[in-house]
Amino acid sequence: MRAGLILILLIFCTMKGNAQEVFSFTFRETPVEEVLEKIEQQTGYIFSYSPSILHQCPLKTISIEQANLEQILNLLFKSSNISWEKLGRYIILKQGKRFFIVYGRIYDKASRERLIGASVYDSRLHVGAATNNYGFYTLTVPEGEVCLNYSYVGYQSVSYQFYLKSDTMIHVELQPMLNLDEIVVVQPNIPRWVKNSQPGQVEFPIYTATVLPKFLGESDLLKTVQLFPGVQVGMEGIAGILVRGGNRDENQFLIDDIPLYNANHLLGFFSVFNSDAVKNVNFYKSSFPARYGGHLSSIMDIRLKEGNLQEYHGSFSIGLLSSKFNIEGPIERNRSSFNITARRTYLDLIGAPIYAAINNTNDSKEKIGYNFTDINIKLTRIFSQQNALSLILFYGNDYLKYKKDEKDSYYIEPDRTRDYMRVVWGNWGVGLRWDKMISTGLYANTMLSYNQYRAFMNKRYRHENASGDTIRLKKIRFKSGQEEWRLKSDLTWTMNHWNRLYLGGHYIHHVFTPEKRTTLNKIEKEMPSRKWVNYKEYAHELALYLEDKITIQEKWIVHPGIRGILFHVGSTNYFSLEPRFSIQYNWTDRWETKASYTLMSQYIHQLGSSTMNMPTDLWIPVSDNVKPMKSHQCVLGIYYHPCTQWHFSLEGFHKTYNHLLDDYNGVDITPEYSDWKENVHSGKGHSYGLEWMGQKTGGRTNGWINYTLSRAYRWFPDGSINQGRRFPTKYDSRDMLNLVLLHKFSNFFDVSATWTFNNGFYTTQPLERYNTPTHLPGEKGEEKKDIIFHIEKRNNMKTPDYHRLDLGFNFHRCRKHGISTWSINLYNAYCRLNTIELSPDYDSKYGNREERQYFSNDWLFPIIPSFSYTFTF
Amino acid sequence: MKKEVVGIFLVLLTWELLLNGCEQKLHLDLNAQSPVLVVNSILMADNDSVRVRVTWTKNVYEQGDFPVEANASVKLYKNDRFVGACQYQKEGWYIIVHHVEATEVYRIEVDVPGRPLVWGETRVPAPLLNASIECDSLQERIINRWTDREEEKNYYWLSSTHSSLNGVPDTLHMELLSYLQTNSTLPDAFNRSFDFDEEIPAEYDYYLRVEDSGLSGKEIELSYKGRRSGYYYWEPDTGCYKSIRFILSLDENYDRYLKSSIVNDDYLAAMDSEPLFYAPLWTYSNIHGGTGLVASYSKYEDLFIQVFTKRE
Repeated sequence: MRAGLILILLIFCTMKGNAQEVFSFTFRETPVEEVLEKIEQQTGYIFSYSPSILHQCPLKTISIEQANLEQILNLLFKSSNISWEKLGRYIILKQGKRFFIVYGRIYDKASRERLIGASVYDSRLHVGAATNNYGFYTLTVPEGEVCLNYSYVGYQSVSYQFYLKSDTMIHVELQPMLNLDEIVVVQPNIPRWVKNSQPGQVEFPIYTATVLPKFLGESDLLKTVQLFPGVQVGMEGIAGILVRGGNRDENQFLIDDIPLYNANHLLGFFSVFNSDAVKNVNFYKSSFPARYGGHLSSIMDIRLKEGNLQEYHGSFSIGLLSSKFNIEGPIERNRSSFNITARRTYLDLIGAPIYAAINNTNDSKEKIGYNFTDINIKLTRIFSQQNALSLILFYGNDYLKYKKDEKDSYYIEPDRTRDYMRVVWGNWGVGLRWDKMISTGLYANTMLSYNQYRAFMNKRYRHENASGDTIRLKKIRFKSGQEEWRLKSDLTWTMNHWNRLYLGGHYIHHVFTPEKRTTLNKIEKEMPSRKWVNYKEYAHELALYLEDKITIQEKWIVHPGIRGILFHVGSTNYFSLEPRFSIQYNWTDRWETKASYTLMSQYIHQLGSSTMNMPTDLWIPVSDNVKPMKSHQCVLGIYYHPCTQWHFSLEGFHKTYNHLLDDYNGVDITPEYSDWKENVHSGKGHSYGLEWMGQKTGGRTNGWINYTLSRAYRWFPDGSINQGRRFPTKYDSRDMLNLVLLHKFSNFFDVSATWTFNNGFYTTQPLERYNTPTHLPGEKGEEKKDIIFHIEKRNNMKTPDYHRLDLGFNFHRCRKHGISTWSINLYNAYCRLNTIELSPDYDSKYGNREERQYFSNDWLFPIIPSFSYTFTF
Repeated sequence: MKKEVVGIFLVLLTWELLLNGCEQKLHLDLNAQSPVLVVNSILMADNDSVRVRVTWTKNVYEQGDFPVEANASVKLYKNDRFVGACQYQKEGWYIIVHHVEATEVYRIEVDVPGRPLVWGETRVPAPLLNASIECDSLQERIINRWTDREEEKNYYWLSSTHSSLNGVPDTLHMELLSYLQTNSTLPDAFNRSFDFDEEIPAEYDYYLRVEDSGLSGKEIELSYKGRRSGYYYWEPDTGCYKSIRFILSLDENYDRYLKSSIVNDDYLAAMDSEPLFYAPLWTYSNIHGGTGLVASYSKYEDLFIQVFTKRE
């Protein structure tokens, strides 16, 4: 019995010893043949090879201690073109190292939703890749043992170890970590170059937007973006963004590759992006890859959720302003899914009676109602592992209605006036996307889409006498908008493990309707006059791009690209070639340097308010006289990651603009379409700055702090504006500081706080006036002769500093069928009266004739508490 | 209508969001802004004098007259040659006797001790070629004819003034026609009452502005029908009615000034109620080192007088 036990133990030890057999060698300038002989002697393995393949191997100087056979052979043939294979006691050496492709998709295990930006990495071979916008990854690795680690923020990692002999498809499902102790889970320790980001690129999980303090109970994606460096807010409360000195119309918003021309509701106080529908957001301020184009300052690439392929889930939320719901689930399990979100405000239901109660009298009755709605639908069908089809639909609409009925009871038979106006504006789009894996290294995505932005106004004014006869009738119907038909195709081609090619293009048919109007005007018994206008402009846009991402020995990542665009409008063709280039050098695992250059062109302009989003804003294309806007941007940045949770960056940018449009008068009201070419002028711009950011992405407490030091100028060399002299842009702020803090006390309670500071904005104010040139023959009006304002320069006044603290408190409870969340928010917690506009005025004390001039500092939002309730199931 | 939309939105914001639009006084020292010298002079071709007014700007809310500059040295140059110094009269006016010649370039320089030189320049337009103004038999439609001068860039402004009508015709106070209706497509749309390109006839506020682009050397005919604004009462049984119809050929400076001043007036009229986003407009000035206008024009006019006598 004892002897038997010893024998078993001996056999076990021998087996274990064989499995972990380690050897030590030292060779100096030794031919490979001799090295192989020594290995044969020590290990007992026999090498089988053609002697000619070893001719290329130089003499070896190797010192190995305590290494197993695989490690020895990998080291021996590391820099050669020889691969090896173990067959029993034989080791076969072969000419040439073969590379194979590992490819597939990475899914959320619970919902089967495809994950964007998930990583796959082999720590031994130091090769890695990230999934694209469609959850697809491809990785080229040499034949042999591979150990792939799949990971994604907020999910448990998965590892696969196997011997790679041929192209292999691996679809991976990652399990979400349900019981998170932290608000944001740390990305596993994977080199950052695997999931390389461009300088100026921000990718953030949508979860961040939902936990930040909410304005009037509404979480907002654009308001989250405003908290990143280089992004200026503009007017208080507005959800629009101004990026690195750019204008409001220079930002492109893409929902699953369908552009969106009106990203706002309620003049811009809320964005159209319903965070429940969004899966992933990529925001580029610079270093735009060649696949993006058409706008100068930023690209926001938003991907909608596809819907759970396994089971039904959803949420609903009730806030002060609106209610919304989200529902997702399988249509056919694991084959097709749907995701539907919808939101509607009830401002009209709540506000209209209050407004009426305050304003209505016996003589005057007013009714006003406003609401906005948005709907996002995405249907996905997976036909096979190679083919998937998605149908995307979004709809966002604002509706305003105003009625007034007035008479003057002072008279016995009073006249009556009735005013009615209805304004509807917004955009909708529909797209059909086909994701196709053509081969192991080639992935194609084709999209056919239609989108439309339109504003519609209907106004009627009627003045009638006591007997009901019309004294004056005026009817106006106004329509403005633009439509786009778009066919787009993108290809991703993984040529080898260090080289990835992106190519594709699009064709767009634009239809611009800047103004369509019919007017009817009738005065008493005169014949009614009818007037109409219908401006339409058609444009065609063709773009092709090619970009290459080259990784050189894990140290360098070079990303050159080029984009060619042909834009045809009227009888004019514009062609531009846009080079894009970015380069990254990884000094160590912790230090990186990135630099980039991009040239961007923009062929459409928005005329209208630079402050707010108005239904009367017009989109117009370039023309014979109005040239495409261009910008050149250079960025240099240093990035430091002392540990997995902390990230620091310092980026400097320099940006120049050409053919910028600006209104001669700098007026914040939409010009009439027929006049716009008269009023706008073409100029140049220049902005530069430094952006610093420190971010903590894990732990119970996380958030970020950033500071931007920047300048932005404009000038019009033809002297048309500001006498050709340089002037600061309206929202040029030298200092901007954002602080975001999230802390999770427990699974039931978390707190968020944001503090933002900037130097205010510029405004043009007349400080002096003078008399007109007198005695002008025929000059109209004498009464207005003394009101010529002398405006020394554009944007001559600066408003006071802007700062604001927002607080959010979220209380979660686990219920029988889901989780309920109460959110209590404080906007402008210390009630700072931030300026939205200055206007000059004066006080008069008639007693002693004293006058004091002052600026009226108009502000909108004091401290605003709000709450919302959300139930997720 | 767009302004109404803006206004309604303001109301909506204030009430619907339960937020009161609030106001805080921000006292800034406006008096710290230094005044700027203003030079105004309009030269008319074939006039025998040149009048220049030199004043200073004043604070936007400062009351009283504009400060005048009586100690300036005002010099007139023609084609860079010194013509003479203007003599100070009163209220900031400086005058020099000189026959203003068409097609010549005049420069006015104003030197105030201790201040940099302020100046403005204008090229006097040539007289209107083959100009005539007629009325149709009912005196309703005014027909203007002239030939564009090929050798220079011209800016034509057409309108007419009428005796103001306050019960009886008043020939001392002339009023500009408020609306000019025409079938012509020549006028610039900037002051069109309704902004319609295809709209015929179209109505314009106060003036018809015609730029000579595309008209080089051509004979031009442009007729219009005038309409006054508001209601008036007049029984033409006595008194005298006077009307001056004119065609002006302006130099570029005058044209840009007048256009910007009309746009400014329209804008201020639209903003006459509570301005939502107050933004002042820029009025054109060609004065270097100061503000104001040095400009010129030539004129063709037709005087129409009608005397009414009461029938017995």
